[in-house]
Amino acid sequence: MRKASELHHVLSEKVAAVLPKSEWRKYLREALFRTLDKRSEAIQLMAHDFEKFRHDARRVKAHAVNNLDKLLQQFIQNCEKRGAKVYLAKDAEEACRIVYRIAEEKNARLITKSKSMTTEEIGLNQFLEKHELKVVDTDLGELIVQLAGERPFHLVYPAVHKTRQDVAELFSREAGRKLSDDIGELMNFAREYLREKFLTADLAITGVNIAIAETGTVIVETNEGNDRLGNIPAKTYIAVMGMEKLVEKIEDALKLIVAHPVSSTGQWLTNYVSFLSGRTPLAGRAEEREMHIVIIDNGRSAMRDDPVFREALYCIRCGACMNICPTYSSLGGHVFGHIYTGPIGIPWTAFVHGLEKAAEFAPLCISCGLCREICPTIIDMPYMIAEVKHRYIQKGGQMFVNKVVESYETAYRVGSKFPRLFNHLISSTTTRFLMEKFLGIERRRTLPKVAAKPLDKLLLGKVVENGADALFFADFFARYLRPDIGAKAVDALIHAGYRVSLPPQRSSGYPYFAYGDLDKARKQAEYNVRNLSKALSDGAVIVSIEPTATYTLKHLYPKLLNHIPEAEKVSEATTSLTMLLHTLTKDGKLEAKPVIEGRAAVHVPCHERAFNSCREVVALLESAGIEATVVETGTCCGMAGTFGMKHGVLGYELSNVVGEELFNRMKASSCSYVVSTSSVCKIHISDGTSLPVYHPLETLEFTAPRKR
Amino acid sequence: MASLAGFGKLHDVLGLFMERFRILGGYAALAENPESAATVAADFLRQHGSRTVFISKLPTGLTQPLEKKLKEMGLQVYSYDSSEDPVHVVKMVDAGISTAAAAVAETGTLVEVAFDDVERLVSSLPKTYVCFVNGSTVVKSVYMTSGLLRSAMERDRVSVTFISGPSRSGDIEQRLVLGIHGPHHVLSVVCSWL
Repeated sequence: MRKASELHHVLSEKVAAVLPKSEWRKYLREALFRTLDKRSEAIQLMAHDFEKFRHDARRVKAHAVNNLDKLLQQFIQNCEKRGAKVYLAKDAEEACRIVYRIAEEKNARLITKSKSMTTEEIGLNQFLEKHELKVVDTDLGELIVQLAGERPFHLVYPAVHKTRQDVAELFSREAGRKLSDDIGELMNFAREYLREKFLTADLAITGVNIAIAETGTVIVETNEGNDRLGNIPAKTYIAVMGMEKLVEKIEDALKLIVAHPVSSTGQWLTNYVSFLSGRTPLAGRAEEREMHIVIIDNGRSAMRDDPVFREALYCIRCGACMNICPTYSSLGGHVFGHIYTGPIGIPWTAFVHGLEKAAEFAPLCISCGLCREICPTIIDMPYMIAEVKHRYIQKGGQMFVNKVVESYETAYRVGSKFPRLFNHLISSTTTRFLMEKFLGIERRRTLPKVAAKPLDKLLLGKVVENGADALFFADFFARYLRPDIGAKAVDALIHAGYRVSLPPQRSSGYPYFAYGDLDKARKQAEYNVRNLSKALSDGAVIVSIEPTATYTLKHLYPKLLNHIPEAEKVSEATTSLTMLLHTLTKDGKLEAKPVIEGRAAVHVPCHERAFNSCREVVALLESAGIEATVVETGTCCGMAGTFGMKHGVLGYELSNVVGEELFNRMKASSCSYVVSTSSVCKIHISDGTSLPVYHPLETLEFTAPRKR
Repeated sequence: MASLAGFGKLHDVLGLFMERFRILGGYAALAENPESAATVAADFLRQHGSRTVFISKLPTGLTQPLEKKLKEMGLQVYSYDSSEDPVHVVKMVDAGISTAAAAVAETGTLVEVAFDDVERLVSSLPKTYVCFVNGSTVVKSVYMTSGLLRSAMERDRVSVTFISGPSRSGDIEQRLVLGIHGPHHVLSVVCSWL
């Protein structure tokens, strides 16, 4: 296993090669964001209750994975009854050999293939071509990457990185004449070029989107109809599928055939959805028309048997996680991926191509958590990715800079004893130069100053020891940087009639999680959960001014601590502070006045999205008479906690590239200031836009309601 | 062309199907009798420059008026003849005509049930495709097709295909183009008399 520093070097070079391509990045982002817009429209139309829709899809997949062995047997029996031949391949090599053997028996020379990530996974094209068989990818995007000698860039859009000029060049080479870059002309060329292949191929291969156990049916979805043109004329047809494609019933399959296009391309349904139950005869002739189904394991059983990674098998390959991923949309699938790309590509690669391959691009996950929020089967990708990093660290070690940024709390704890000296040092050019050189902290990044007066002192006489109905979780932000905002939150709650306490606590430990140091993250979680749950009385709430802290208590701690009752209790009680304050003002229990003039551009931190509390931030500001508008790109600003503090392309530089579109929108919004609940996004946006950035509580003054 | 007035509850579903099918880039028409269905189909083929057409299975009572109409317009009509290779014939024609077993309104989808792949060839290969569908088989949502699927899959070998408009691709700069492999022009004729 190569060391972390070696992988870091390789990845840095790949990232550095892509970062200067700003025009290409603009094009890629527009394409991915356009898909997200179409997706939102399709959800409105096809899945009004999207949470139910997601849970239904997840239930279908969970049921199938829980009963995989039984369904596999049932599927095989039903397929065989229909005359299909079924093969089980334990790994990629065996799967390729099975396909090759069939091709050899049929004396096949020309093979058409419709888009299939599973055949990419096993390297089928390369294997067959090594044995002198000609394989033609018939999906337009796949054909483009095949002619370019590349691998797919995206699960759904394999050639999204290619412009029409690129395609014209590739197709002209194949045509032996100059083609224009008119998309219609390029398409006509592809149609004619592939038509001849379809009609003369000896054998057709397709992937499988879903397989129904109760009927022995494989389902193939394409928008182009290339699967049909492939497998209708060819005498021999081979369907290659991963075993996780199985579902039990027709009704389960129908849920997924809707979930795929809605979540993927924003279509209502894929253009052609073929349910193939046995091989239908052609013109009454059934002889010589064979159907072979190759079912591949290749690491899937191991994934199923691993409690952390089991739900990776729930992936329906819609690609939504990569469309929303801030680093994927900046770098693309050739940097952020191996064969499987994007967030879901990390756990999948770990099992089908090995842990080290996954570790090569896992650091590109900056733990914003948006992939989990968008996933139609609610796969906890951030957790699985952290686990991939964790398992790799056991063998390849942790990067020194990650250890440095993980221990920021220690530095600030010490700094808080000597605030003047500490603040002077972190502002000094010499210190920052040395910090960059020896610690890997980017010198151009503004570092937050430590507060002169700690939170405990500001809260003296305000908080109670016992019987509180609100626990304040200070986290790093309110404890060391802005205790004044923490105190303001506590005051607001007291005005609204709450008795507030500040139980013993440490910061949330999210950076440990983000860098895969799960043992340390767990220790932090244990400490906080123990103390918070002890202080928690019935009906009490836990709040924090930092959304990442709230997110950690709510979503991460229960999983880190194996769902022990105390962690669940803490999670249950944790709520978004801005949502709570909005409710209190709405219910007349609290009054808010503006203390800053002007229009506010509201930024939505990723971990605020998990609470869906962005509307409440706007409503809270508006209730005080502040004109507020959400300004966003729908994805992360790029700071990602401490990621944007690190020196180099895998830190500061990438975080700026991720943030550029948001900065442009903020600057163009003509708002006088920005409001963000996140302490670290605040630094990034301020650095990137030169606009003043405030926590919402800084813009408001809360008072108890006047008595009538 | 017939109107949807007088169709009661079915009005909403048929209207929705035709609206959604059009949004997907297809053409949709309602026909009240075999003669009007034949006219709509023949006009469509003429508009799209078809000179040759392959006809697969048709709804009851439509074969004669349709063939008559097409021949009147000078189109050369082919149908399945066991002596010839169907792939060879269908690849030569400009248009294909067949019948769907059902349709789904919400998604603008035709449900093709094929016990023989000639059916699939007709809806896959030619540049222009016309599909007739019985109005009473149009259901509102995809989830309502499970009974039809289950019953079709009782046969040993069957291919059911959900077809939602013309073949399409967004693989070059995500700009939508129609007719990449399969039909470019697709008409669905909802037969209300059946």
